[in-house]
Amino acid sequence: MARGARSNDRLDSVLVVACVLAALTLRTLAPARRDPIAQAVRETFITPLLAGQSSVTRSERALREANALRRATDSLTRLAQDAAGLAAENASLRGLLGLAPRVAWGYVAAEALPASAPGGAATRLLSVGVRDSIAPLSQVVTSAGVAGLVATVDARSAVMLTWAHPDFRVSAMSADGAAVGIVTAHVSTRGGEGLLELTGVPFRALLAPGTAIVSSGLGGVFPAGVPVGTVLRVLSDEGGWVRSYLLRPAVPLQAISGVLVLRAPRVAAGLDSVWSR
Amino acid sequence: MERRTLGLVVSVAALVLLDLAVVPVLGGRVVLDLLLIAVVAAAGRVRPGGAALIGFAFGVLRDSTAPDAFGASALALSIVAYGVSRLSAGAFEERLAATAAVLATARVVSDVLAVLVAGRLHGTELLLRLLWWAPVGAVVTTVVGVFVLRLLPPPVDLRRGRR
Repeated sequence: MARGARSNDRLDSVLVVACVLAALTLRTLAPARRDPIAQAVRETFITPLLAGQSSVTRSERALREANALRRATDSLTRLAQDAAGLAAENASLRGLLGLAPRVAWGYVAAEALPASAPGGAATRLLSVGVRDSIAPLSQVVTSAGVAGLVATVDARSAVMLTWAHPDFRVSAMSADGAAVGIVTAHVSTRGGEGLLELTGVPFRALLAPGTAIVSSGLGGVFPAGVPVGTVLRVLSDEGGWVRSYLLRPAVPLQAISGVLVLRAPRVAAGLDSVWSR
Repeated sequence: MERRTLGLVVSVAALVLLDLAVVPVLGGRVVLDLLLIAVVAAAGRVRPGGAALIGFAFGVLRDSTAPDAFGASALALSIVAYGVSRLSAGAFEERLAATAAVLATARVVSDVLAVLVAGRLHGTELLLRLLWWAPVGAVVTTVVGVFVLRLLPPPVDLRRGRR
């Protein structure tokens, strides 16, 4: 029994010494002899594993690429959202290019920048000022119609009230002149922001939905014939004497970017034929 | 082949496969040494001579992926496997602290031996590897190794028959 154990111990010692010697021999081999052995081991045992390794690598790369793709998708989505705004701005500018020759003189083109202050949606900062010969109450229009009025003027800039501002008023009438009233911003607790109201229309003058409303020129602020909006529906009839109508504005708020500011002499000369074409 | 022995072989093969195919992809300097865990697991269940052979074979596998130091891992793992089998006779796996101590010592010894025999590191880099990365790698390998060895069949069952 003891002899068997000693024999096993001797065998163990021989094996470990053999392993150490073999390892040292491998370590001291010249590259010309070492490399073929390493290559044989790799091709026999390691290469099959490389398939698994490449799968892991591919999975890891796929995860990285998925993140990159998500970022790219987010960027594209943002670009697409911006593209819609650019298209609207482009259309607005094209409209202005068409409008300017018709107005012909007495105007200055300006950029209308949204105000960043809270509640600034109803105002715009104009890129023109006193140096461009504009004054408070100058009319601001686009190719689609009434955009607003200049409120205050600085040397190189001005603040404009859009039609959505509570202080904005324009005397208006139906295109055929049958109904006259005052257009203001529509304020409602039940939604409908971004719309206009035509108030004070005589009860007998019934306006059908879709009727075009233009400035009447009464009051001397806006010249006659500038589109203000179209009738959506009756808003109220106050005591059977007058009616109010809800209007869709001719110039959507988001389309107020490139505008024309009219100077006083041009307004005095009239703009009847500019939007009636 | 007995069912438990088959389970051990499959487990050790899985550890070797993971070490050669997956760990290199993870990268980093703190290498989780699954091959060493496989060697320790096998060495605790066979005689010292057989353990040395297993360590040598696994070491050659690892060396084949870095021929510049061919033989270094074979030498280190042969000695570590022989030592684990000779000193513990598998009994260390019955106590958690002993298992951790054996794994940590085996990791440090194999790392030091392999680095010194390979002779590729010098100066500050060598010191950093021996005094910092080897102990840190030992901690990582020990934590994982203790868990893995607990899942394997007890060494005594395989060496001396069931208790």
